[in-house]
Amino acid sequence: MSKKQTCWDLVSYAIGKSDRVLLYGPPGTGKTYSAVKHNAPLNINGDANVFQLVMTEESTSADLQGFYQIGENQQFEWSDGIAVQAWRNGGRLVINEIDHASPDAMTFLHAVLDDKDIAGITLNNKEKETVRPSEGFTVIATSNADPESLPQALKDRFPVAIHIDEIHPKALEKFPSEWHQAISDTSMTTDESERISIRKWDEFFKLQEQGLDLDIAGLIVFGDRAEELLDAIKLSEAE
Amino acid sequence: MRHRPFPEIVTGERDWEVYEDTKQPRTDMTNKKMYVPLDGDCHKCGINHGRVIRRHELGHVKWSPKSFGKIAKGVHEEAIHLLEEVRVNHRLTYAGIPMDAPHTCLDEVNAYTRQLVEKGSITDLVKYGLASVFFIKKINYRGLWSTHYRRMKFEEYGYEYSSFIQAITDEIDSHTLKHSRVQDLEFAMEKISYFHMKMIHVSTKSHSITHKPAWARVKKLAIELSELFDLFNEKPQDDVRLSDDDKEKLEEALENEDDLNEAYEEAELSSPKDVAMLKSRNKQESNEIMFSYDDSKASWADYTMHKPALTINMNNKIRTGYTNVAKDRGVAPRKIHRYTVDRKIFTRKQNTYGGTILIDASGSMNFDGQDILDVMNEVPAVTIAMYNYYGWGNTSKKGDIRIIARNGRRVNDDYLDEHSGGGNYIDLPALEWLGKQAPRRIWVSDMQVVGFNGSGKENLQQCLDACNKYNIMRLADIGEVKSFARHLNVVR
Repeated sequence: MSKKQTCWDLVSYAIGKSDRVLLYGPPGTGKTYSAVKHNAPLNINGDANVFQLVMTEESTSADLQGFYQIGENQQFEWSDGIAVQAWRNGGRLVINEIDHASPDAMTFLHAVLDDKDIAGITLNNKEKETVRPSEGFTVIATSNADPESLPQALKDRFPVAIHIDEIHPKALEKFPSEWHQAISDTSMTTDESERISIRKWDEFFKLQEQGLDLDIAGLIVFGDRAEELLDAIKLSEAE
Repeated sequence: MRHRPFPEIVTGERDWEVYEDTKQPRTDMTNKKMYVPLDGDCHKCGINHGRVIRRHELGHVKWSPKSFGKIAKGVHEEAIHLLEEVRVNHRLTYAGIPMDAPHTCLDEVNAYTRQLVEKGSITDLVKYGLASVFFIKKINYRGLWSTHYRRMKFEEYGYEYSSFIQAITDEIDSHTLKHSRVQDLEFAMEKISYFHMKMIHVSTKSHSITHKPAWARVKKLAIELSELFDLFNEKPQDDVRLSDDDKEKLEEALENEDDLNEAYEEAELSSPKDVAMLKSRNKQESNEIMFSYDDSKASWADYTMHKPALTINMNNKIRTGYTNVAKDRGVAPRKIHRYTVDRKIFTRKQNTYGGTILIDASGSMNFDGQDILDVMNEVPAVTIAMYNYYGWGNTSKKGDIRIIARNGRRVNDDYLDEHSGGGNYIDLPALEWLGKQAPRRIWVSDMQVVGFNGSGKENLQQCLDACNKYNIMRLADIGEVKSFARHLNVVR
């Protein structure tokens, strides 16, 4: 390989070609953005055929499989969960914060992420319908934690796991180019005390656009860290 | 909270790495690595020292070259580093982001400066001073006159330098230091200002200050600074403090005399007290002169030897000029007539103080017949010569060495008056002549030797080499000759 491949190069190669991709790395880097937007599949109406959910400790397998709810005619109606919807539609299932999933949801994910030729779930509805993933079904999961923190069985179901160690180039585009490295470094650091989120950077520039001068915008957004930043800015502008 | 600086913003380049290092902050420009303290306020004084250190290192990122390039022979890398510190600190001030807080606690600066006063070489003092000398405000004009430490406006300088100068001034004003040490400190401070000004003045002829001294200036000045490092790196061998008696003498002198140097003179604390001090003083002075000289090639005139009539006989006034002294013990009686007087019928050859004194008469040496008599009373067998070079109407292009006293006789005062003054040009040939004369050989000179090509380092070095080769002791004036001639003398 003559050119060093960035993580985003790898993401662009993997998404759309691999069925199960895990993107992991610090927050605010554009993992979810890529999972949702990159080569997004379209349905027959031309809309994005993407189904996404955020896992929390409160998430249950029902969120993925489906559940009964009272319908308009005051009768219980079955409603497919997000995973089943994605199966049926052959869409892209985006599971955010997969590492936060409850044991119940995680176990169900094993079934969702099974190899396509054996994957199948009999729904717990009245019809006891058995569903299988349709053609085109893919899963992209995102996590802030290292894959090692996932249960072995779940981890094994993501043959492609890409460490996101850079901010997505599109997220950086809105900032002046001389700031890219600083924004990237400060937002990617794993040291929480040093980290400056990309949202903070965004706000810093927005405040300046709204007429605040550099020093004030710096103080408002960065607090104690403003001096270091302002020194660097002044020096970058010095002859 | 950790305060990470942002070199990548300054350069607009990627891949900078910042590491914590509180002991030796530095920036590796080639590999884009910065080592700085990342902490906040100092737990002792409450000042965020790290902030100015980070600012300083960012200055290096902005203006320092990636590497120093090839370093010329004899140039110390540390000299380049120090001058680059001066340049970067200056540029930070003029870019509107001065080092506006001390990078270390000021009581530590004070304590370390006092330690340097006690034990540091001039080089140590200059290094410490240069690392912290910069203006904290933008100043556009500064004559050398106002950089003298007594006239300095402390508020214009960085905190450390002000503290450094204050500590040294306090030490000098405590009147507890030996005069030679006071002179060392003043010399060091003068040199710090000299290099600072050379770095920031628009040109050598201007007192206007440039806002953007160039890197090339660092490399050029480093040659001179390295020379200073080499010449003045000797630490004080003796205690730099006055004894209690001497302190009292100085205080008494200061009651009548405002000028400190004059007071040291008045209290007789200026002159070296022993040969070791003489040697140390000579080395110091020669180094100072060497540092001020240029690189012109040595070129000397030839000389004519003059042996004028020594018309004034001083033998009747000289106390001890005998070579054979009567003794009451011996092998062969030679003074039998003394048997009845004091029984000292034997004689023994008495060593008589003598030697040769060569006086540089080029300037105003300020000595007369009485001085010669005084010297001869100390070293009766001495030969005294003087040398100089007359330019006006000197078609021979030769200097002159004149024997002015020998064997208890001397020339008259008119002769001395008539032939003193003029230029040097024959310092080395005169010393070579002295080297062939009887020891102890003394050269009375201010060491401001001058050759045909001017005041070159090579001129002085050749003279110093001749002094070493011929075991010649240099004394500053005729007063020192009177004090030291006998003590120094080698009997013959």
